[in-house]
Amino acid sequence: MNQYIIETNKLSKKFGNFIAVDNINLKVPKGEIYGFLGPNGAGKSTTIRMLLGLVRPTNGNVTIFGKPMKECRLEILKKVGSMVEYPSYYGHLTAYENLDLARRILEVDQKEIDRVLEIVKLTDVKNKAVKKFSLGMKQRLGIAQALLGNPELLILDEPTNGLDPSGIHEIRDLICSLPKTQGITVFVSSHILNEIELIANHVGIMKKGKLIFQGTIDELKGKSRTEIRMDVRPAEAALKQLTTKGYTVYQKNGLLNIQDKGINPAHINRELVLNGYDVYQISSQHDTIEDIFLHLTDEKE
Amino acid sequence: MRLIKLVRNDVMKQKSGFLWLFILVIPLGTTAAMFLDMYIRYDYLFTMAQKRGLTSWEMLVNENHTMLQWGIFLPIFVAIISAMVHQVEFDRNSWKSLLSLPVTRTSVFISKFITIVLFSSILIVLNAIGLVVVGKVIGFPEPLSIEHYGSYIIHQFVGIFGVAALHNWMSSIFKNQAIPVVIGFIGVIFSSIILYQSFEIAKFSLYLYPFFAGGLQGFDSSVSIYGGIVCGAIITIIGNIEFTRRDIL
Ligand SMILES: Nc1ncnc2c1ncn2[C@@H]1O[C@H](COP(=O)(O)OP(=O)(O)O)[C@@H](O)[C@H]1O
Ligand SMILES: [Mg+2]
Repeated sequence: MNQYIIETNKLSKKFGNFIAVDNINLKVPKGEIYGFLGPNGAGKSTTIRMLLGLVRPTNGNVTIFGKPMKECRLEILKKVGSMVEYPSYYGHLTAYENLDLARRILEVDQKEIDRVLEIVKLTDVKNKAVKKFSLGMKQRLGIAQALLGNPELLILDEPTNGLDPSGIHEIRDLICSLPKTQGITVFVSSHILNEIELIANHVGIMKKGKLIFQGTIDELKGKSRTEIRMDVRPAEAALKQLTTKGYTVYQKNGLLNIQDKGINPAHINRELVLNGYDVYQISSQHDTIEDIFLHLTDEKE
Repeated sequence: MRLIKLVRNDVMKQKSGFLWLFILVIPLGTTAAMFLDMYIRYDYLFTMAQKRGLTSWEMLVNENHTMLQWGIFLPIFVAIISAMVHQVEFDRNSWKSLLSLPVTRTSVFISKFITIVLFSSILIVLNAIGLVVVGKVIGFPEPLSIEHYGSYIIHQFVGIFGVAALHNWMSSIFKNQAIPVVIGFIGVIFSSIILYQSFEIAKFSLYLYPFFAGGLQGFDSSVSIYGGIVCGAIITIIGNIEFTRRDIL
């Protein structure tokens, strides 16, 4: 048995010569909210389309619920709710009628429609044509459709795209409540880190088609670098001293800087003082999770 | 059965009414035109028909099929119906959410085909009913031949399979539904030019099978049955292979 709800093996997609998704190995644990991050064009939507069988991988394969997507597509999709990029709907039909179309295919009870409308708070407008809905309402309808029939896995592609802050907040709360109340695994993509940071416990970060990080939020925070800046005199000698101790030190505006993972300012201070240097000033600064994200997605071009 | 549910959904998606309006207004127009034709020219046409051994009812079908050009234009109507059946999926790119549901692509593709044939059949039946009404109102002397009219409907019904299959496939490809409709229009014009050159070549044009369904003298109406079934099956099979392999973006 497989403890991962979604697992991909060397999943790749080429459009002509352009590699949109490059050899990615996703591992999405059960019952968690997995944030799929990356700047626009990183290959998130293409990956999600492959997870749903909408796009054929050029290489590699997708396993969901421990079953191969290629062979067990129908069986898998029965237990997957999804919304890919912008919500799709039939504008001249009402919210209820839209959900009824999907409900019939999913072969679930009509009561399900009222249940999901209640969850996304669209009960009052269920008989209104969807083309008259605001973007936020359409987005919620898309999520409602994804929730039909109590799926075990929810795949949402940028569900807060184009929403105002209050709309973003609402959807975020909704997504957060799902694993707790219904035991659903949620795979949600976004190009905005702080949206994901607040809800996800696992993250995967995409950049130019590659999965450059995958792990828990805490592991991501562990990537945080500390920068220590100090005013030490004499500076030249102190620089030499620290360098021989194995630190990477550089001098800037007369101050010494050390930028590294897991360095401790107290150790460095003691080191300097015990060796007879005068430390006039020492400060340390940690990367925020935002910095880590930018650092990961920006580094090397 | 899942296919029936899909067809029901495809019909539901036409709730906006344009398609329904279309398949009601067109037969209303043909009925009105045929009524005028019979009202003004019945005596003349009946004399001509008698010379060729035709009844009033048979003459009425001929007028509908060739004078009004129903047999020539029917494929264009099928193309327009196909465009409307597919348009709803392109409007908000609903293909991706439809195909993310637990359905096989084949069943989705076949369902669209059945829906197109279904709406086209309503059009065909209403046109024929219109003819019966005209005959009754004018007061044709002969009794109505149910057999003849039934055969007229069946031949058209099977005759459109090829057009429905081709347009089902084309409409699933183009986001802009004007393209397949224009292709259909050009196909019809081209085919009707060939029709007056050579029947031997014309019988290979799927746009003409509804025309051959007219049971007209000099044309073998069984061509519409064989042609419709063969083209409908082959094109649906090939189209479906492409449709199931296609990336939905
Ligand atoms: N059909 C296509 N043909 C060519 N390139 C494509 C196609 N679809 C997407 N791409 C390219 O693949 C890359 C990844 O796109 P996408 O998966 O939509 O990224 P994201 O969702 O992370 O913004 C982009 O550079 C995009 O231009
Ligand atoms: Mg995207």
